[in-house]
Amino acid sequence: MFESLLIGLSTSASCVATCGNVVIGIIMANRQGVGRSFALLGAFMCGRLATYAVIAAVVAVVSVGVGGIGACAMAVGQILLGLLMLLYAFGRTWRLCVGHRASRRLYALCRGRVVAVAAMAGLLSALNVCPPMLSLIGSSVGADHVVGRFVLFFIGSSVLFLPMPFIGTIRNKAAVGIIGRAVAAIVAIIFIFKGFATLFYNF
Amino acid sequence: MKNKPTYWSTGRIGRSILLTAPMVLLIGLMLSGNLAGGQSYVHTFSAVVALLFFVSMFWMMIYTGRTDRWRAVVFIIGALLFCISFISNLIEVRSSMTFSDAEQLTCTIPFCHIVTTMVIIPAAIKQTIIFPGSLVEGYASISSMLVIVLGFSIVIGRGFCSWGCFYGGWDDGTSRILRRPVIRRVNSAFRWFAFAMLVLMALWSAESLSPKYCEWLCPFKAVTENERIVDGVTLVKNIVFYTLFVVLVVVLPLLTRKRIQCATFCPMGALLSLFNKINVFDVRHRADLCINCGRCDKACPMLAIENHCPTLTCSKCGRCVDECPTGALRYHVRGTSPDRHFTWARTLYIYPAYIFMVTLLGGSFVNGLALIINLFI
Ligand code: SF4
Ligand code: SF4
Repeated sequence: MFESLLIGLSTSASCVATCGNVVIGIIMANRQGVGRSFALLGAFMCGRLATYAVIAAVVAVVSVGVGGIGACAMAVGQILLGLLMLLYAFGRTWRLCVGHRASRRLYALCRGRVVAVAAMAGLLSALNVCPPMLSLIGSSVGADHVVGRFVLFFIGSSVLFLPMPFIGTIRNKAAVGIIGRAVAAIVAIIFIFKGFATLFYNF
Repeated sequence: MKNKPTYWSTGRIGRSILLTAPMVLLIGLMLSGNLAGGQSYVHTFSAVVALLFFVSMFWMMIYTGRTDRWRAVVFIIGALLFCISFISNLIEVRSSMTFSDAEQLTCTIPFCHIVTTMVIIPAAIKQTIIFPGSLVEGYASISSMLVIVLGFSIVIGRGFCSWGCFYGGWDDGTSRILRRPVIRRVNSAFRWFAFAMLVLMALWSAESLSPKYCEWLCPFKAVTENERIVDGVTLVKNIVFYTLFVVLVVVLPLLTRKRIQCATFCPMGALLSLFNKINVFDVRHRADLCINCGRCDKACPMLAIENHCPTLTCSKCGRCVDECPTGALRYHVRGTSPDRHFTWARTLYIYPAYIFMVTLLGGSFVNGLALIINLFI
């Protein structure tokens, strides 16, 4: 079982490279201090853990790997994550870009819900099944303690996320906020593109 | 109005020659390979023209006291000749401007400095170079380019974007075509977008172990080399390259008189801005001399000025220094007084900057010129 911890630890860098964009976007765009940034990272991690739990349950009960339906779920997850990030990025700048009514609604939708957005993003980004996750699923099919394996993988792969909230210490908060929103917007476009491409190739 | 202070050599022929003389030797040394015997007559002639051109532009900088005007002439012509020389080299070696899977597999793609932003993380954590180029051998090998670019950046910081980058001359050139901008106000906050590109491209490339910016987004693929169109994906990539080139390098710089691609899109520019933090040279604003005329804010092509002060993303091009009517903006060496020694601060900066410019653009300048001359004889 502890091999999953090792898989997680050794692939932590790749997890950061995959999902780190999303966390960085959220933390930077929020322009808050380290404490608040840790809260957002915590929410993101909880969302990620929840998805892992569901995947672990499915693997344990159904005892099958990722097939066509898995790829489809992943694609839908990517598109939803893209839309969420787009909302997050523009919900905070929309006022500057377009007419007042649409902007006010969008802004109101996002304001005060940053923690929920972070949790939701964690939930959806864990659906974005990466090679380490695929190897974990492969080695867990038919094995004992499937949930335990996933939890250990989660712990191992989370290590390199820990320094991210320290972005909150950067002094130029205005610049950090703009960079964060731009990151969120580009991540959104990439995920939506990836999602549609996956759907296109699978059907 | 306060008078603009002049440099020690401004308008003085003797002093200008004195300050230019060492540069003649250095440029001659750098072009010595091209000037030496064994080359074709046209090549040697081009090298002599290049030597005279580089020296006279430097002399003009020293004599007139204007930095950006003469820098830009070298920078823009250098970028154009670089592309001519690069493309002709590709056609000579592989009979095409495009590269195929085979060239990628044999790792023969020339390394471009922008890839630096994408190779660092995989090299650190996976000990892998994710670019299909040669590590030490051949034209523009990875190690030689990394040494030149990083060395350059440590000495002059983001000055690389206005003094060394062989692409920067493109949007520097297009941004100067119209005398007045059609779009007058460009929000300087757009410059932070390049930092978002840096974060994303570094992480995305580390995740996929391939240089994503080069594969999908580099506008300069349009004027250097790009992937051969063999399927829908390569077609889409090429459409993206050419569209980005037209929009970011031609149309927007033309309309705004700003270097939009360099200031807002290039991840390398963002990385180099961070080098400005550890760099000894900067452009300093003296509030006591400033008359708040706002000329510097309008002039800065990199959107780098806020409240008349150059910020982190300054590429030390010298345009604001030239434009400021009172000398409130000046080149400065950190740790020295900006009031005194400003001639020496400027000279100390433009010497290494110009040497780097000739190092990076000199060879392709000579080759490109020789190619053009060959077309006519
Ligand atoms: S602040 Fe001045 S030196 Fe720096 S990029 Fe702008 S115009 Fe050039
Ligand atoms: S150009 Fe800029 S620094 Fe110079 S006087 Fe005008 S506002 Fe001040």
